[in-house]
Amino acid sequence: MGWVWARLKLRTTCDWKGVWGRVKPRTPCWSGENHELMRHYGSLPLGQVYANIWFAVKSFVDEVAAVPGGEHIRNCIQCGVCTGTCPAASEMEYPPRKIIALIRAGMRHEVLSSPSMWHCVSCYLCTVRCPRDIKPTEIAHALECLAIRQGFRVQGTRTPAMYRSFVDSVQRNGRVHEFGMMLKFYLTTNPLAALKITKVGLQLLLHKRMPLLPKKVKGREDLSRIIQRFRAVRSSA
Amino acid sequence: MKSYSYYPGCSSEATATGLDLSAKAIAKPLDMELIELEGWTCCGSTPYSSLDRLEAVVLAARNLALAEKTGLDLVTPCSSCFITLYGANLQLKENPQLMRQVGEALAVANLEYRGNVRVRHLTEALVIDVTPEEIASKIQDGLNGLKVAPYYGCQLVRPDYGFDDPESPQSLDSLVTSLGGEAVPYPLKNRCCGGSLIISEESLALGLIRKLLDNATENGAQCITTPCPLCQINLDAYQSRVNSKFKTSFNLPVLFVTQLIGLALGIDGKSLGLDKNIVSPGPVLEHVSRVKQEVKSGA
Repeated sequence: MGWVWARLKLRTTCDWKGVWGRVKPRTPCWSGENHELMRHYGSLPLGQVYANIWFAVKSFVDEVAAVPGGEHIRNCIQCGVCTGTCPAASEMEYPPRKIIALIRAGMRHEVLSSPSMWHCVSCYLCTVRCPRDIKPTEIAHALECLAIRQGFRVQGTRTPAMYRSFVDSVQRNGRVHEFGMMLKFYLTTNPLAALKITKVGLQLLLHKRMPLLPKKVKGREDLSRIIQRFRAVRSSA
Repeated sequence: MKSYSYYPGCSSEATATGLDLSAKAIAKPLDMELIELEGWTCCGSTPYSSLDRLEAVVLAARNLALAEKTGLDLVTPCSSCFITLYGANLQLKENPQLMRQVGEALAVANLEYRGNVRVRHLTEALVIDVTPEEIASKIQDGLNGLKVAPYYGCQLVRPDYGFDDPESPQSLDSLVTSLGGEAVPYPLKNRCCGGSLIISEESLALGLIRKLLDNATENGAQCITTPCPLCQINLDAYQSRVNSKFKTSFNLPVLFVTQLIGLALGIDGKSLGLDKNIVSPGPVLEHVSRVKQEVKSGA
């Protein structure tokens, strides 16, 4: 049982802190090798540490390069046009140029647990201006997907919760029901923050721009069947 | 009369009712037929593709499959729907494996998609198919020199669809001019308003909205016009939030470009959904009708 638990723990995604000192096995492990070695020696031999680092570094860049829009990430010359262009850069711990450098250095944990990419406003100005055809907007959204899929808990941004309430609303109603989405967002984050936008909400209600009940959409069942089927197809591929 | 398959987008049922109403209202006078796509569902937009990129493509694909059956160009007035549907279409055409998987999923609802739909923005259809000259010929008094800041937002022109310049777009300017309005210089015309991050990162978005309102006011605009539902709600409904946060006193009406066209065509405000605008478009209506009256009394 303990073995299973340790293996599960090893399989979760994290990073390596320190090469010479205490080794925390927090990188994704695709084999039980690290765990076996740890059990045998009490700590990981340096060769394995290097192997893991190489594996983590290589695979993280590869992972990002494999998503649509991420293909050219290795072409980055760190010119900084993306960061200079980004309207949200001032809010980001790692603005676009830096985050690309971090990806290429294989710093998975730093990148995926950071709230930076969640501040991307999808304005595509960086994508238009990049002299090396990198698409930082697509990379930001790809990183968001990776962070979600690999179970990172991101602090310092409410955007994941907002996106989640949007997606839930689509899956339930077939179309976004904006009032329901907002309600869910504030209930799951900070209900008191809703007070700030009471006036905006009331005005939208009074101007008949915020229906309280979702519409019955004809294609709703079809859509959820299609999504279910797609999940099955994708997991079997 | 040219026919299009019309995809209104989810916001047309709530926050952007005015866009939907005015798009339908101006279609007939401009010889366009907008046939609403039957049984359309959400395109997925940015939130879906930020949580699951591939699954998001399926949402768009269902609508593309429905549109393919009609054999018409798919036109949407929403910039976010436009970029999502356009991008998914491109991705499906470029990635046969994804196309096959999506095809298998669509088959459960007896749908199939072969990649033959052309996704277009309503603004593009107005500029390329209808043309500003044609619109100008249908207008009598028009806007009579109303000073308008044309606000494109981001996703109408970026990343690149080939119908307008991503850095210095001109399509809205030409539309405003054709309506008899004056497109004021608006350097921030294609900068971001914060989009849906107004909900989750309010202070970031409010700062961006403030810059946009500031820039329009500095250049003497009497109103802002935009084709995008998110831009409109951010600039319109959140204007009071900007005022209370930055101690400013903006009172700038924000009209959908379709509402502006309708106004120039002489369609009444209610059919254009102008009563749904939060910052009252009263001064705009007054300007347009006052100058009209002057013209009449002068004649």
